[in-house]
Amino acid sequence: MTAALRPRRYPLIYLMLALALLLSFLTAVGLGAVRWTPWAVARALAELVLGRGGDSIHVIVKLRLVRSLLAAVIGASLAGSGAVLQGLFRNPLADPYVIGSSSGAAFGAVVVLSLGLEVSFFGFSSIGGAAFLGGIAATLIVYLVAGASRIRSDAASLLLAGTALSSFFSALVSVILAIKDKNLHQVFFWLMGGFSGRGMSHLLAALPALLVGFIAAMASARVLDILSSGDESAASFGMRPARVRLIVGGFAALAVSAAVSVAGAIGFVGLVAPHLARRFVGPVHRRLIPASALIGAIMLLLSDAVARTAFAPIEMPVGAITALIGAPFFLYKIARRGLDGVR
Amino acid sequence: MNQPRILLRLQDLSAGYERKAIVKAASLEVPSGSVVALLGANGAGKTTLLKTAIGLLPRLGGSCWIGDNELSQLSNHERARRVSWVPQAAESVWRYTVREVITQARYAHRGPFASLSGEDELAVQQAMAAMDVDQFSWRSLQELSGGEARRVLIARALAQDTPLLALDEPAAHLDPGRQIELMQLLRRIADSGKGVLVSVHDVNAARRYADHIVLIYPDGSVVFGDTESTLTVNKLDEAMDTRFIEGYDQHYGKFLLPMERLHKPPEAGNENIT
Repeated sequence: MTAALRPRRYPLIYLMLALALLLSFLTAVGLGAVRWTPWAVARALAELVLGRGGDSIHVIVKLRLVRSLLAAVIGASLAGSGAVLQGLFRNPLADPYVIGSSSGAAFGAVVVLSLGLEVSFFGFSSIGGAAFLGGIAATLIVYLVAGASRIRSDAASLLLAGTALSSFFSALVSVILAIKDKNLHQVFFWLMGGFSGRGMSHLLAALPALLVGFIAAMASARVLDILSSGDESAASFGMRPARVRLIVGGFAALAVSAAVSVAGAIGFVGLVAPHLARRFVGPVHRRLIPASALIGAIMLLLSDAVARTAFAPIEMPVGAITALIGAPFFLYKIARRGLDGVR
Repeated sequence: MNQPRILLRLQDLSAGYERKAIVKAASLEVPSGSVVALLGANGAGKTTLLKTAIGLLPRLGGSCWIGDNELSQLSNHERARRVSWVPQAAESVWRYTVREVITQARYAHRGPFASLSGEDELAVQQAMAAMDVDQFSWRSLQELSGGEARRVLIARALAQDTPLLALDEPAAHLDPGRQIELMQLLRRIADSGKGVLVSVHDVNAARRYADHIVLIYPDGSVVFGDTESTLTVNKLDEAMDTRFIEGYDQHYGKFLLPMERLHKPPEAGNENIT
C-alpha cells in the first residue's frame, strides 16, 4: 500500500543550481573594465589558492572576488529571508519590505548620513549600525501595531502594518532629502542598494547575524510548512501561530537588517527568488529555503555584474537592476495566471 | 466492547466573540464510539461552539473537559494529541501535495524540529488508506474536487490520531450521494472507537447516523439528548424557525421534511466569523 513515489530529482536540482551559481560567480568576477572568460577566472583562482600568481589578473580577480562574494551572500540572505517571510505570512507578495525592515534600515542609514554622524571603527560603521537598528526597530513597530489589534498579530494585519510603515519611512527619507540636500549620492546608494565601496570588513561585521538568520530559517522550515494550512489548523495541531510569527519573523528581520546594513535596500530578490525556487523544488520549506538562497545569490551576482558594466564607468545602483528585471518578470507571471502565477 | 469513555464534556459552556455570548450554557458529552451531531440555524453558533469546545477560541464561561483533563490544564500540544479539527475548507496558499498536507497533522506528535518517524509514516499511510485518498497523494489540494478535498482534511485529522474528532459542516456543498458517503464514513470512524462531534444541516442525516444530538436555538440555548427525543417536530420548529413535518417511508423509516419558514429572525447570517 505504499504510494508510488513520484520521481523527483531534488539532489540533481541542487547540483544544477550550485553549478549555475559557480558559473555566475566566475562570470561576474570576469566582467569589468578588463574582461576574462569564466575559465580564465577559475584558473587564476586556482593559482591564487596554490599561492602562485602576481599577474594583473590575480590582483583584479582578488578585488572583484570580494565584491562578488558580497553580492552572493547578500543575495542568498535576502532570498532566504523572502522565502521565510512568504511562508510566515502565507502571502506570495511578502518580501523583506513587508515587515518594514528594508525601509527601516534605509531610514536609519539616511538619518546618520544626513546628520553627518559617520564614524567607523574596525570596519563597523555607524551607518551600517544605524541601518541595522533601523531595520530591527521598524519590525518591532510593525509587530506592536499588529499586536495591538484584537486578533493578535494575524498575517493580514502584519502585512498591512508593514506596508504602511514602509511608506512612512520612505516619506521621512524624502523629507530629510528635501531639507538636507548634501550626500545625495550616498543616500541614493542606501535607497537603491549597491556594493560600491563595500569590502570584506562590512561582510564580516554582518556575517554573524546573517548566519544566525539562515540557521533559524532552516530550523523553522517545518513550522512554516504547518503554518501554510492556516492559523486555525496550525493551532489545532498544537502550534501557537502568533508566537511563531513573532520569533521566526524576528530572526528574518535580523538577517534582512544585517543584509541591508551592508548593501542598502535591494528589492525584488527576496520576492522573485522564492517564486523561481518553488518551480524547481516545490513549496516544502526545508527544500525551498536553500534553493531560494542559491537562486538569490545567482540573481544578485549577475545583477551586480550588470550594474557595474552596463554603463561603465558609471555604476548603476544594483537595486535598480534587480527591480528592472524583477518587476517585469513578476508582471508577466501575474498577467499569465493571476495570483496563481506567483504562487 | 469496552465501556465507552467520555471524550468531551461541556458544562454550562458559553461561547462567543468579544464578551458577547452566542451560545449560552451548553452542556453535552461525546462518548467514545459515538457520533454527536450539532444542529442549528445559520448563525446559531455551531462553528463557534465547536471551536470553543476544542480550545481554538477562548470560552466566555463554563467548563470543558477533554478526557480526564480540564481544557485549560492542557498545553496546546497535549490538546492536539486528544482532539483534531476538520475545518470547512482547506486553506493552503502553496501547492503542497495531498501527502504533505496530511503529514502536517503529525506536528501534534513530533513537534517543530523532529523529522518523520516510522510511526508518523504509518499513521499517514493508514489515514490515507482509510479515506481512500491514496490515488491522489501526489496531487495538490487545489486540483481536487470539493468532496475529495474534504476527504483529505478528514484523513489529516485521522493522521493526527486523536480519540476525538471535531468537524465543521463536512457535508456542506456535497451532492446527496457524497453526503451519504461522508456520513457513513464518520459512522465508521466512530465505530472504530473514536468520538465524532460534527455540525450538520441535514436533519435526516443526523437522525440516521448520529447517536446524540446537540440542538442550538436562536436565543443561544442548547439542548442535548439522544436522537429520537431531540429531533422532534416541535423542537426543530423552534430551533430552525421552520415548520417541519414528519413522514414515514417503508424503506427509509421515519423522516423529517422542512415545510415553511415560520418568521424571520431579527438578525441572520453571522455564522463563521473568525
